[in-house]
Amino acid sequence: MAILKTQNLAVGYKYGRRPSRVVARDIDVSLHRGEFVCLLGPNGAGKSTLIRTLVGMQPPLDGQVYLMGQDIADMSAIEVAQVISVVLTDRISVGIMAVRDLVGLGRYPHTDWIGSFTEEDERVVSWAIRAARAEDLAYRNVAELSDGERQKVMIARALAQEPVLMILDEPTAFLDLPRRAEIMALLQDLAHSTDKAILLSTHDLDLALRCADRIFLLPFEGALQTGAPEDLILNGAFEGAFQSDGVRFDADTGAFKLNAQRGCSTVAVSGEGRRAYWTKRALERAGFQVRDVGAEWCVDIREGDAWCVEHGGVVREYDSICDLIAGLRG
Amino acid sequence: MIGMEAQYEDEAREGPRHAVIMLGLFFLLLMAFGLSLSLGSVHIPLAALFGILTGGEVSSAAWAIIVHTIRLPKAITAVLAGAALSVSGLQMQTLFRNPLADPFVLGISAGASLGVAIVVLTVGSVGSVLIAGLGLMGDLSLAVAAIMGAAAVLGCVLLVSRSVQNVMTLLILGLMFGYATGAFVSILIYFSVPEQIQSYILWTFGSFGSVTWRQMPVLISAIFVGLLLAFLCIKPLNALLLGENYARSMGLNVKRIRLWVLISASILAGATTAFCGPIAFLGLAVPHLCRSLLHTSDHRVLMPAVTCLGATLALLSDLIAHLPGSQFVLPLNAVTSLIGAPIVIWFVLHRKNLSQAF
Repeated sequence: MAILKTQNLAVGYKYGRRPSRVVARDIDVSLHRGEFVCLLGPNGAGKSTLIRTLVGMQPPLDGQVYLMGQDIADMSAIEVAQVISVVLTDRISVGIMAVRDLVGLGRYPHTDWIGSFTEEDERVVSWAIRAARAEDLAYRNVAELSDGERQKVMIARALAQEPVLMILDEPTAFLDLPRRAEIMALLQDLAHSTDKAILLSTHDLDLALRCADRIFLLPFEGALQTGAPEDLILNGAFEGAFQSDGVRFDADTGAFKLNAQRGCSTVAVSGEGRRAYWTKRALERAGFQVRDVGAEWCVDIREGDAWCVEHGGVVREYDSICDLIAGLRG
Repeated sequence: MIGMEAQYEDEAREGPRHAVIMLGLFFLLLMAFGLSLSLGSVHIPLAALFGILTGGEVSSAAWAIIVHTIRLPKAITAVLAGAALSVSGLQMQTLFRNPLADPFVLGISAGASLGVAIVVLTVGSVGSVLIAGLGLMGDLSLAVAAIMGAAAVLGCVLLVSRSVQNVMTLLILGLMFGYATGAFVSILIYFSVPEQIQSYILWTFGSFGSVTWRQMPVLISAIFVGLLLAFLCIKPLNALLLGENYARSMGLNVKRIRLWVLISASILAGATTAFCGPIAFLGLAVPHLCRSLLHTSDHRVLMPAVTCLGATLALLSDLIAHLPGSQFVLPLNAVTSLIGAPIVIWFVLHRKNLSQAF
């Protein structure tokens, strides 16, 4: 059975008597145990609105969200809290509190009226801190943590709630690349090892394609599409969703390419390996069209450390890519 | 690794450290209570005091009368009022996540002031009928007027709070209620004679000394209910430290808890203001002092600490206001702020943890 399932869901905002603003409609998705799913889409497509609706923070404009087969609108906050835990983009200022106590707040739906801990609660909190790899932070003050550390602690708090489903709104925003990769790998591992479903929204296309079991792709206008990352690349869904003037999604590499075809000079690069790859990248960046044969310029990088350029019978040598591009531009 | 273990042990001692501080605070409260019975315009030795309180040998009938009719009710009132205002301040600061919030941010004291102002300032103009009525009601009339004023404003705030999504909106609305009510008081003062204005001003100075034994059960039960509600809200208040969205995601019914916290804080602040006048500063400062002293935002620790320290500081403020050994009495509100402000400034500058609290 699906942990979470939506039916004809429409999300958006109501303003009293004025007509409501629908951000996305006709959403039919489901989430299963042990699944790591990334919600992708351009800014303004409604990722956060969808997430807020899925966790019951705002009512749907149309359709239903079912949690363990039960309509979320009929469930109390405490019932929802025993299934879903969240990591939000809200700035938190908890005051003077040790990390372990903050993680302990995740036990809220499981403790008595004053929130005292049983041995089981202590054990779950210790496990959550270990699982989020935040052991060395356990007795630090929350106010003194860096962004990346705080994100780990908030993940630990969400884990301590012992949910079946964890939903995270852009958990990797504001983090540097190694920290993003670390968090994504951590969440992927948690989904598989603890048999939870984890749904997160992100702008990190590359990492999402590498880590996610499935992708929910929410285009700016149009229907939400789901599938394995590779399926959505092959059927052109990504290209459609991220179409814009400046960039395009390159289905060959799974990365964005800048539409910088300004020049029409053609260059051929002969050579292989890492140097050849980055030389081609540099030439594309500089606005040259890179071809294999029949180009005006020929760059040969096979010999030594230098870049040899042949143009109309004249051969010149450059010591770096920087000089090479300057030379080609004349 | 050794450093790590030492750190763990250090943290494991946090619990006992809190217990020691709590014990100290409680001892301080007992001392302050004893002092406030013993010191005043007439000094009563502690030994004699013990005799009077336990119903034993009484060395001086005058002393027994002073303790029973003046000092004991005053000390009990101070304990109740100090605890009530401080707990109510803590609730407001957490609910609004705002270090400047105090028991009166929602206009409760302004409402009480309006009630009192109406009674005190309109007595002359309305005529002898009302004066006769006042005589009948006796000393309860001011309290009744203050309670009705506070309840009216409180009712408006609670009514609005049911339909307000954002707690910040509520804060601003409360401030507006306060200003509007204050404006009515200004108008009343403008059309009153100096003698009436003076008796109104006297009320605004605040005093623990006007509660009689006859009124005491009312005050005690109101504050008991308020404190009980406050202690029942400890766990939700801890969840609210993470913000309303997280609190909701952990299973908290935010709107309902907000209502209960408001009711509790309003009973505490309203009852105190009705019987003692608008007492400034304690409700704002005591929660900050406790957070800084105990180095935590956990309401399980803060709530009892704030209750104790609030009562103690109220007793001490009253003691200082009565300038022991002299016949002079200073306005209570002047003392709480005059003594309190330097203490808080010292804490802010010497213990750097206050800035982390919000």
